[in-house]
Amino acid sequence: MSGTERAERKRGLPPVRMVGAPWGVWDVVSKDIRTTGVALAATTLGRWAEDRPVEPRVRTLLGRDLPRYTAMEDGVVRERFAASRVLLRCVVAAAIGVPPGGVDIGYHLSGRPYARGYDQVDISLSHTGDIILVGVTSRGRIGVDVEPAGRAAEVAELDRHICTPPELAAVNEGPAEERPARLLRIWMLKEAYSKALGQGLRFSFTEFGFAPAPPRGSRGAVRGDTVAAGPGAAVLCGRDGAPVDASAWRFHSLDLEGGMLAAVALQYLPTGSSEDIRGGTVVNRATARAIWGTRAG
Amino acid sequence: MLLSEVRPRQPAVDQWVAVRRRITAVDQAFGDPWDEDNPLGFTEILAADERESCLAAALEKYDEHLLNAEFVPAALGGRLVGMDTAGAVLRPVFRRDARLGAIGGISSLLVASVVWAAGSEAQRRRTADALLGGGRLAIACHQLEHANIFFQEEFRAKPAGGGYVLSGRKPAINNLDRAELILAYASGPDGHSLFLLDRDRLPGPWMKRLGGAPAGWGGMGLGGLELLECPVPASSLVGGWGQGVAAGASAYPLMNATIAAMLIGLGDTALRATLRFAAGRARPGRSTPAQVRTAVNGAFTDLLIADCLTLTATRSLHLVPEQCDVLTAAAKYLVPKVLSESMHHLSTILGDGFHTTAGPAALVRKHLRDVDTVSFGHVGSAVCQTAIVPFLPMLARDRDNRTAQPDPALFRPGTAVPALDPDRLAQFGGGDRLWGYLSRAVDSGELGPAGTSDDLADEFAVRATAFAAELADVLETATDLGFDTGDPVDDPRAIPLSERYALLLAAASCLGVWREAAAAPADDPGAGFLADPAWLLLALDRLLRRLGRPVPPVPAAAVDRVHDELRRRADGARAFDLYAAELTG
Repeated sequence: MSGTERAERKRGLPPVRMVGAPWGVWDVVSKDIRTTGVALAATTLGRWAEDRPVEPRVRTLLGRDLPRYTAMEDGVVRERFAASRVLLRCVVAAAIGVPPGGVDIGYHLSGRPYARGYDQVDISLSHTGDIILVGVTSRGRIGVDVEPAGRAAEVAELDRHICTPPELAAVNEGPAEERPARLLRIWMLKEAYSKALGQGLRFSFTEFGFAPAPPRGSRGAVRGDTVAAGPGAAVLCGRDGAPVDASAWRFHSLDLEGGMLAAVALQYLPTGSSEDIRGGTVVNRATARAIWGTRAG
Repeated sequence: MLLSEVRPRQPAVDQWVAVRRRITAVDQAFGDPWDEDNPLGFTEILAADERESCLAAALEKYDEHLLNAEFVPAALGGRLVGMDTAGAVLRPVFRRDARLGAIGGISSLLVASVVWAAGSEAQRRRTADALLGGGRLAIACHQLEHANIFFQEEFRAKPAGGGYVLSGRKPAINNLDRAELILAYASGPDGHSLFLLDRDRLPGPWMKRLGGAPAGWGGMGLGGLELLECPVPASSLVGGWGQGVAAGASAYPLMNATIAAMLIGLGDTALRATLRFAAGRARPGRSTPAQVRTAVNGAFTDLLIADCLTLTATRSLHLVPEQCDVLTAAAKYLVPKVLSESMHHLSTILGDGFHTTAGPAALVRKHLRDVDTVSFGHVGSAVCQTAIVPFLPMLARDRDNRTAQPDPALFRPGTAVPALDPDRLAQFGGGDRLWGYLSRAVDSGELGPAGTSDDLADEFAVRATAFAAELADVLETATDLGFDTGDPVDDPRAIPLSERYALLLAAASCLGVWREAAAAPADDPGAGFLADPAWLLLALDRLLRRLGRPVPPVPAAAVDRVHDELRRRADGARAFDLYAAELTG
């Protein structure tokens, strides 16, 4: 069985691993990505505060993000920055089996982070209030979003700015008490997908929509239905509400602990992905020897 | 080189115009791609893509015009004058359909590169005859740890009866059934060897054809092959017995630089399609929305960055063949990434159109997918990193290498280059001198126009400071590689460092192209827009931001100058690369 077939068969999501960076469950993260092609890890500022390494270690773990950290004023924003970047580096390091010091978090011009040079993985970062969520995949692109369930009422007020007309109609026809929660899920799925594409909020949310994924074995989404208030899978739709051909993509709404919600957008590219994603085997030794002989090293 | 040392050179009108004409001629052969009635246009290409296949009529057109003669050396009867030209001339093909480019061109280029670099005279002759007769070539790769389907499993070889016998399975060979010749890697007791096999002579009781293409590779003519004690003649061995990896590696620069150069056609269409889409939605009398301007200016600048790097890389094959390995790998590593990033940005303009399966927006999505597929994604990157990483500590140790100045002919599009020299290509080195070029410009205040009279002088000075810091930091890390691991190649910091190095080579290439254009006589077709420092400023700015060293924004006046050129080219149907050739639409 080829790697591609394995990836096709196993499109389940591993659980979100709660970690206290930088001493987390790295062997589990490593196993998650090996078996599913995806790893998800989260921390809270509370856990970070408890587990926070000594300052010089934090500075080392920030790598090239250190100047930004140093330029920030003391406070929660700075702590969140430190915690998120340390978590990101540790998760990538665990996924590709190198020390965190070997990982350099670069930023695309859109602001999207990536593991510079290690393009066998794609990463996404989301934080809100107290919680930080990191996603990493070896299958294609990934986008994650995390929000407190309590934000639903606030997000619901933006309904016309975050929904396509069919989505809005479906939400309005649903149970009134679920309306805010459904709108929040829609918003988060769009955030996750936009982040996977690298566009953040520049990608207009009224141009594409989501519908609940059809139950296993049935074909096609139910038109006019809206994503559930609870966790579950979703499919991508156009502005007109019809599902679009996005067979490489999977979308998930998740519940995390402490009243936190998450959304994950995942792309499974059949081409180009490698079974071996270890950082230490990127350079092919036989070719390097043939090119550089004894001059290298 | 100091600016004062630059002497005005003779205009290269004839060659430049000749390259432009060839690009235009290839584009015209396929007709206006936007014309819905064109059987080779985007409507048909997208319809074929929906069926996961390549447009057969387009492939016939490719063969009819014998486009593969572009990379057959003139001495063997082909039209190859330089790989820089070959890459640019095939852009109209990639502008339409990367599948067409991959089946028609890349697959054959991979094999031809190895034969030109390491083959015997008879093998070169045989390969040239196949290509000039309209035949295709296929490659059966060796196995790699970081593998996609093309690099899974490999053949094995052993000497037998004056020749060799091959056994083993290759699940994926591009163009297998269409190929006249197959270049096969095979492992053996003394390492890998390379064999150039006649497809017609393979069938026998020892051969079995394996199943079809996995998802995503449809229309590529993919097939698998199993061999059991298949006899092949001694004359099929390419390079020495057990020397296959070295022989293949000496051809990497040819493949890397030329493929990177071809891919620019994909970015051209993505930008053109986005502009057409935006124009269709624009309100009369309103100026272009800021979001659209930012995305299209960025995409245009990225195409210029990518083309400066591929120009320098493709010309280094001819001008400094023994030092071109790292530069060509950097081009192949960076160009798909830069194109993909700006194409994703263009998708913001397309909105709902990004998800449609027809129209200009669908093209952007197709090309975005294809730039990853035909560049082999991560597996392609790893091959390039294998060439770049071991060089970084060598550069750090060698001060002379870091101060030497390059041949400025590297930066002159459309000017003649010497023929390929296989012996020099096989020497392997990374001393392209671009590091010294950038570093001297930065240190001597010559990153942009000289003197304080230029309105952009301060902008260049700010960026020179940022580049100086980056050069120092890259050098420091390169010096430190291996501190914890012993062997620098084992140091995990070397991989991200290789990308930063590639971005610095891109900056040096942009600087070189601008300088040479600025120093050219005014009647040189290479002057004009390319002599305007505005585009260089935008290019350096984007590279610095990618290096994680943001500086204050580029002044609006400079952005406007680049945008005006973009509009002129869009309205006049000219390519968005360094050559700006006339296109059909």
